[in-house]
Amino acid sequence: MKRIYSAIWGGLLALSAGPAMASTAAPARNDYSVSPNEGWDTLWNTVLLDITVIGVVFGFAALYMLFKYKASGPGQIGKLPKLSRAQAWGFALLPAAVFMADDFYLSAKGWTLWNIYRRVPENALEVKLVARQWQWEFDYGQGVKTDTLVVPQGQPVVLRMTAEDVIHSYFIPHFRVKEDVMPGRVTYLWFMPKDLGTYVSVCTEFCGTGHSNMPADVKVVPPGEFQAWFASNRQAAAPAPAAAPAADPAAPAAAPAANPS
Amino acid sequence: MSLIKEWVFTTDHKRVGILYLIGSIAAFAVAGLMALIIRAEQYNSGLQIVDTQDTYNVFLYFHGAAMILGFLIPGLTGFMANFIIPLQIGARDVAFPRLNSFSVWLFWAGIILALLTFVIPDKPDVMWTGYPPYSVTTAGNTAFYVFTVHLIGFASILASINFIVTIIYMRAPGMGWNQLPMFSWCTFGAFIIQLIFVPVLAAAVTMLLLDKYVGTNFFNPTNGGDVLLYQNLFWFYSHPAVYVIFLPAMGALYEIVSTMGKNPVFNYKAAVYGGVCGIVIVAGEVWVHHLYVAGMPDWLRIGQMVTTLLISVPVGFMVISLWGTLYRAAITYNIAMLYAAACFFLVLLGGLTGIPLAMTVLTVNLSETSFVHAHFHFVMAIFAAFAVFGSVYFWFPKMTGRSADTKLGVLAFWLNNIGVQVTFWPLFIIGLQGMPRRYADYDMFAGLNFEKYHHISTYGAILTAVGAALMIINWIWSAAFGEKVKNGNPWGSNGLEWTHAACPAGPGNFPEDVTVGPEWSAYDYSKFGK
Repeated sequence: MKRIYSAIWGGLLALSAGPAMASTAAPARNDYSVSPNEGWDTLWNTVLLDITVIGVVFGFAALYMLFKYKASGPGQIGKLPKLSRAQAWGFALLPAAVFMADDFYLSAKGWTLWNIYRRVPENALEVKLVARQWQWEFDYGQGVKTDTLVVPQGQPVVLRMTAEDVIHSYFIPHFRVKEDVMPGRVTYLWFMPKDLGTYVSVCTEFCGTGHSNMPADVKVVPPGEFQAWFASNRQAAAPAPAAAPAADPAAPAAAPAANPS
Repeated sequence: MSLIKEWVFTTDHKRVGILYLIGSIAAFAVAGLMALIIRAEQYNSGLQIVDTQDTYNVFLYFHGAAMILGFLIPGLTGFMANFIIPLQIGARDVAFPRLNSFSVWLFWAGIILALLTFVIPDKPDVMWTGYPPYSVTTAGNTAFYVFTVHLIGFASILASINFIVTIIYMRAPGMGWNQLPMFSWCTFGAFIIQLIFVPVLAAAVTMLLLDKYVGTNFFNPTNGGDVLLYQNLFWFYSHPAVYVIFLPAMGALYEIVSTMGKNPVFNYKAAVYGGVCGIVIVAGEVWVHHLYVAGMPDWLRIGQMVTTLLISVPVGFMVISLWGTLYRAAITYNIAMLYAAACFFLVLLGGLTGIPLAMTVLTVNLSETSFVHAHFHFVMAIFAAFAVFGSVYFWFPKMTGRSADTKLGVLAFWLNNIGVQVTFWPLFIIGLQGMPRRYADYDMFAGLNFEKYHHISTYGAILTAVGAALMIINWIWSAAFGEKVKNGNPWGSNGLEWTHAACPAGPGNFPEDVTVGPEWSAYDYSKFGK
């Protein structure tokens, strides 16, 4: 059964593969020059232009005809020309081809960015997120657990997420990322904190009484400040594990720090 | 006594249709009131109008469930299908009149059960989607939700069988498939979709019931169940349900636009065999776009992005055909045509904002925000509701023998039309900036000044509420006291319901059996005005 499904989807994917190959901006596997949120804004502008053009063309056509073709007197009937067989096919196939071309164009664009969204950079800081009614708990390991997501500037962050009770959905509007957080499954999302600042994150899957009251701050701090913050929290967490902080806290220093401030 | 006999025990499809209309408008009115309270609550962040967040959640649940299950689907496939299809295809009634009567009372039982929500102690608060584990663990009474879906769903399944048989076997002698009026074609497609997919929804909510009250573990991951199973089953029906709503609405628009424009339907065969049949085929292969951020496998999300975008092809056939029907038309405006004209822009607005939402990666940011909220209200709720309103005005003389008041109707139309635009445009804007759906409290976005957008949106809702109230008052008043129509065919249509049946149509619909010739078309206006 699975094979049949794979075959069907494979076929559909192959259909849109051509345009995907042709579209230029497809990054190599580990090229993260485009962070998800920047890619999102670019793609949104493209799609907005696409649908605005279609909307304006069809909207003005309807508006024009609704005003232009008012009956001037009683007993008047419409003068829609009768279509020949070729015209009928033409008016069916031509729009279908145009719509389909646009669909595949958008599919290819969407697929390209989707790959960026789902491939986590290797140097990403990994944080576990546990959701429950009605709070978020960020677990950095080594006993560091917080209700605020503090991340170092310039290093990608991946959240591995699960829930304890019902379905929640973790959404950081500024970074254009969201994924449901469910009991019994682990989902993930990643983002690139380029600019210093404090951003809001919220729950977007209806989860009961406190659904609209579970915001969490996302603080992007300089890498040095992050390490100090992490160290002080680790000491506060008792009893501290003996193991030295391995990859995670070491990574920020090594990460390419895009530092605009 | 005779009233009970004539209405409660009626098997006449026209009366059954009107019973559907009354029930669905009652659901619309109550659910509309809920919408008004929700909008008033969102006017400012925090709770001002309702006492607790839980009450707010109950209103959200009721608004969604009652509008979709109680108003849109029964309004389009109950009222309109019942009233119009047998008349339109020249049949004296539906194939199974008693089953039809049973359907409408099942639907009424569902409406009454839904209304009882407001008097029971633990009111259901599971949204119209009823996702577990919340719907299983909540203190709210999920059983009310489940049984409402069962009753209305069963009514839908019976109606589907009834109308599929009616359209296949009871068309007037001589009426070929290529002469079938557009509304009947579109609704035929909608009923095929319902017959295939409603049982899946019934199964899904039954599993929910068993999980909550019997202790099974279909959706409980700690005992080997899976929370996503429900969402897949639910949307496997509930996405096609969008076409159950969309298709009859489009069908009614073809009837109104063609008749009032005195133009045949443009490229009829492309609209039928490409549009209606295309949608029936694609409807079941796109449900994952409701689960784009639900942790589905990446390849599946991409695959269904392609199929979802491809819906634009069959929808495109219908849109081209609808637009083409205006070309060189001779339009006479009445209230029905005003609603139809508004629908041209609603379907564009709602349909085109669906394109970014079809794209997995854009939905990552947009899902569950006000952007989605505005999108589906335009394409599904308002577009379809306007088609129902237009149809009530269009077939009003056929239902009541009277015409609806034009001045009040036009005033109500403009209030409705402006009101919905004012309500939902601000939601597109703040949705893009991250305003989530189903929130009462949005203090965390204080820096973004969402309140002023919510203010505008609430004013729009008030305009719409006044418009809708005036419209319903107009219908009730005009049905009792409106001017009697003298002409059995006030719009100059060539449809059988206008040329062969009286206004209002009597028992058995037609004084004589109807047959049509090979050249007959419901959209042939050559005799008009002669």
